[in-house]
Amino acid sequence: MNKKKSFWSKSVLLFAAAGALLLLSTVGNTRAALTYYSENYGMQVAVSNTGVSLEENGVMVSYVPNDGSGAVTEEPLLTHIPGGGTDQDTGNAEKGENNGEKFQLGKEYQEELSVTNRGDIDTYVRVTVMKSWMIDGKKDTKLSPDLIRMDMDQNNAYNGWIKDVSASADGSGSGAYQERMVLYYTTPLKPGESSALFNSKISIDPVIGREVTQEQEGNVIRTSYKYNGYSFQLEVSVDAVQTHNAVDAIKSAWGKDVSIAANGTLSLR
Amino acid sequence: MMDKGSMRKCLCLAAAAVVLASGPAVGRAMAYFTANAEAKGSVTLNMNFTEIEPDEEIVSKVKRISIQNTGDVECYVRVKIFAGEKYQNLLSYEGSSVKWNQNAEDGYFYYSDIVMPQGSTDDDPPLLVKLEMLESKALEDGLEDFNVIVIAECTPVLYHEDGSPYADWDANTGWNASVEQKPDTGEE
Repeated sequence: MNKKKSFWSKSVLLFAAAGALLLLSTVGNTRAALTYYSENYGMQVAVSNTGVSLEENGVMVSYVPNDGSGAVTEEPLLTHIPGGGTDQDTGNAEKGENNGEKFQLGKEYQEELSVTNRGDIDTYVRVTVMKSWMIDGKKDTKLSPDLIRMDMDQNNAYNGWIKDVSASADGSGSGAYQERMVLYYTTPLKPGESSALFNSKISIDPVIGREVTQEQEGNVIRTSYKYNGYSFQLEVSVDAVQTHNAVDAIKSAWGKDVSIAANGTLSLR
Repeated sequence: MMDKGSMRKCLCLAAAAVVLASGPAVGRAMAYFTANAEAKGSVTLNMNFTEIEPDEEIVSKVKRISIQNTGDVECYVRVKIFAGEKYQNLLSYEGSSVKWNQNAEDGYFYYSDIVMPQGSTDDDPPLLVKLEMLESKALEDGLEDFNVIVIAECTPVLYHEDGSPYADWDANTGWNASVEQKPDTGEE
């Protein structure tokens, strides 16, 4: 006679016991999770912003915020000088005068240039100044940029700025960098701090007025100037880099070897 | 011995490992905080031209000289007077001590003030030129008609660094070595 197996055989009972144990262990863990909790807290991560602006005669002419605020400043240089302005079609530039005053050769015009740290951290700054001559919208490389006279032309150090002579014009009218001058500010700028002026005035060597031709019609004598209508152009670029790991940062960003003293003073190697 | 295929695979994997290892280093270099600002501007030189028109008037055998500036630019003027070798030393001048000053070296009379566009030297005592001679000398030389020639020149006003004006009478024509750069011939 076959013995009918009960549903609740040993196997089934063991399986059910295992399942119950498993469930109980989960509940226990859940209780542990429920009983363990922490206060909610918030943490804000702030990334430092760097920013730098260029000032001409105390007025900001160039600034692009790194924080994306959109408040961009872009103004041309030299507009206060008779004949100044990048738009050659404006009345001032076309006539070469401002309020009836014509540009005078040899006369020194105010051109105070400086840099301000607009970021959140200390930075080292440098400026690259490019001088050139233009005629009919094109650059004229025959006319010497040395005729455009600025403070640092004959100086290697001025007002806390030092010139990178290996990358700047030497005033001889020859060489690879006839139009360029690179200046480094030797002390770091704190947020909101402005540098000393790296230039205070600009003028044109009057020797350019020597190139003349003369014509005579009867009693009238007319003297014409070869460089009438030429424009001199000034371009200034400002770079800023963090002071933390300054030697490596400047080498990486600007490709220049520098030394930083214990007091933070920068010098070129 | 590894076959060529296996060798190539090993080399490729080694190269990939090197690239991966250098990747973090590149990331560190780009992490420095930097900022930039730029501006530019230009100024047009309006030297235009200078133009003068000498005016000579003869009143009672005296030549009255004045210069008018008919150009657009302020200028300095000077004149030189010729009367032929026979009469040069017989010329005398009036008005020369006021604004017209003669330079003994070059013989020019320099007007001391700037002549403005559309202005002239008329506002001041003019330069008067007359020929003085003794009657006896006149009879001796048998003088007839003669010419007194006036040469007038102008130069634009230039400025020193302190803003004081001056005249540069050494303007020349042609290529000027101090103004233009020498072309690069590529020679050392």
